[in-house]
Amino acid sequence: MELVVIGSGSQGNSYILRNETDTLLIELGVNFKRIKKALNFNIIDVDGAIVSHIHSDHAKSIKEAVECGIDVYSGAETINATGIKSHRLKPVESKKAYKVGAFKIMPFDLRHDVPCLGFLIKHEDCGKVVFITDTYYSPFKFAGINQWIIEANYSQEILDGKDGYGSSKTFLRNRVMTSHLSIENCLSLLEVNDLSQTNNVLLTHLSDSNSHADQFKKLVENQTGKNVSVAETGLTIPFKKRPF
Amino acid sequence: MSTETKKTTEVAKKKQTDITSTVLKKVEAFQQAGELRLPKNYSPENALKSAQLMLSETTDKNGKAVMESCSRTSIANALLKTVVWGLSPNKGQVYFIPYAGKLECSVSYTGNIAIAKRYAGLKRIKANCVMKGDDFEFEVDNESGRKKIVHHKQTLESIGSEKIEGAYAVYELEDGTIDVEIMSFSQISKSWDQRQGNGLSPAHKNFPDQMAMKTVLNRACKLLVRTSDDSILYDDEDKNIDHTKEDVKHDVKQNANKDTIDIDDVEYEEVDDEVKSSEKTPESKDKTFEKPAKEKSENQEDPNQAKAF
Repeated sequence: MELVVIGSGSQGNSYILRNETDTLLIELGVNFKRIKKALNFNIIDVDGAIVSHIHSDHAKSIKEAVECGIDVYSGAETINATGIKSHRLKPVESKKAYKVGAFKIMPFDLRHDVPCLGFLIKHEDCGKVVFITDTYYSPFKFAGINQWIIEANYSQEILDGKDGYGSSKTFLRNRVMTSHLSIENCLSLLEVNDLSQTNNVLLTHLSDSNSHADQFKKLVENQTGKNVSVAETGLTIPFKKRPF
Repeated sequence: MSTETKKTTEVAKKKQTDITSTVLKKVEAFQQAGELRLPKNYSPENALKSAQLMLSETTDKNGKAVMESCSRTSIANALLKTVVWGLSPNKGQVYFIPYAGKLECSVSYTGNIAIAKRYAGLKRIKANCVMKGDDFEFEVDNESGRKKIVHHKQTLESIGSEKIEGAYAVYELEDGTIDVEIMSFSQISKSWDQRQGNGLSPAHKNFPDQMAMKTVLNRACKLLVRTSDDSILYDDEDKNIDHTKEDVKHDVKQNANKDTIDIDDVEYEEVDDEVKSSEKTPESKDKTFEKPAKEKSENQEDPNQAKAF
């Protein structure tokens, strides 16, 4: 199984988790043409798409996906907010598990400025994947994760240095701090979890101005000793339960 | 009221009374030991009573009563500060701000004037705004270094320009000294940028002249108080607290990375179809995303009803 990054960041987020037979779309926040292209136009092979929340950098292609016959799983608030009526829109609840083709998915609540879900995903090929984005902390720890797809939006140090408290950008700064995951909180989440089964840590949704990809990668590598990547368009990484 | 809510309210009330009586006892102990002299016309009992009433109605950003969400020590400290400064919450001289599970006591500009009058020999103080088109001139006295307004002429036209160029506060001390604190609008703006919160408040946007006068009054009074003999009482009042950062830190400490969840522990559910779900959650739909639309439709209904009558 492999993970393909179609887009990551405030310009749009979308990922494909797939092997020869099974495909799961994670987020629909980029132009649908790009998603189709990344799927090699094999839309029929898509088992479903999971969407964290309504903001357009995560949800803008829901309509097209549904029209193409893809089942889209998200929270009821997010589905209602799309204004679309379709049997392809599947409302899911926190801490309940659902079957999407050969994938098992389990959403859980996150802390953003609108209702937002993270997802646990299980497939025999890649093992357990956790997907966390757009939250200022994770309320949960996770058992036996093989692959982490986790937001590392900003560094508190960079944010404080650039737009310190009292600067004219206080509003933006406060919004970032109460809706996105800092590298510091990302590291503490990884620290308290058992990473003995973990093969990959993929850092996503890095801010254009408040992050530093190389530094973030090093920090996580040093702390975890795992294979760490920073998501960028076109990146493909093997997501295998057993690395060898 | 459900039994549970009733119980919580009772607990909060009891906590409130406990804290105020503890603070009162402490104040009395300070007074008896000669460590604290309160102004003659000031009643700590009344101040604490009004603080108690105010706190019972104050909620934090999550809508939770501060008496429950803030630590006991921080509430006691906030109340103690109020009394030590000799301020009255019911006169708007202090207000209470909850953040990161703590309660902070913040002095308003009227509170600053009261403190300056009490402890720093302030006799009178008056602030004015300088508007675009005003004829305003000030000078610095070579010997004393004090500023002096030479003249300030306003016209209805200049007041109406609504463009603030600065503000000043003229004050007289008990010993007859007259001085003035002057701030340009860029200095005032910088001071507003230090404010907690998301940008300028509606008050700053709609009544910038009033807010500019408050800013210059605060600056004048704080300088006076800090140089007075009782300045020690006033030490940490002006520190800038980064409330959002503190709140986030507190939230993360309290709530992050707690329970472990495992996908293996949960059996599959059948997904409800879309129609069923929107029937199930009409309230959350309105609350979360379509509030403005809903309010609009309600407003539209009102005039129709009026016509019907």
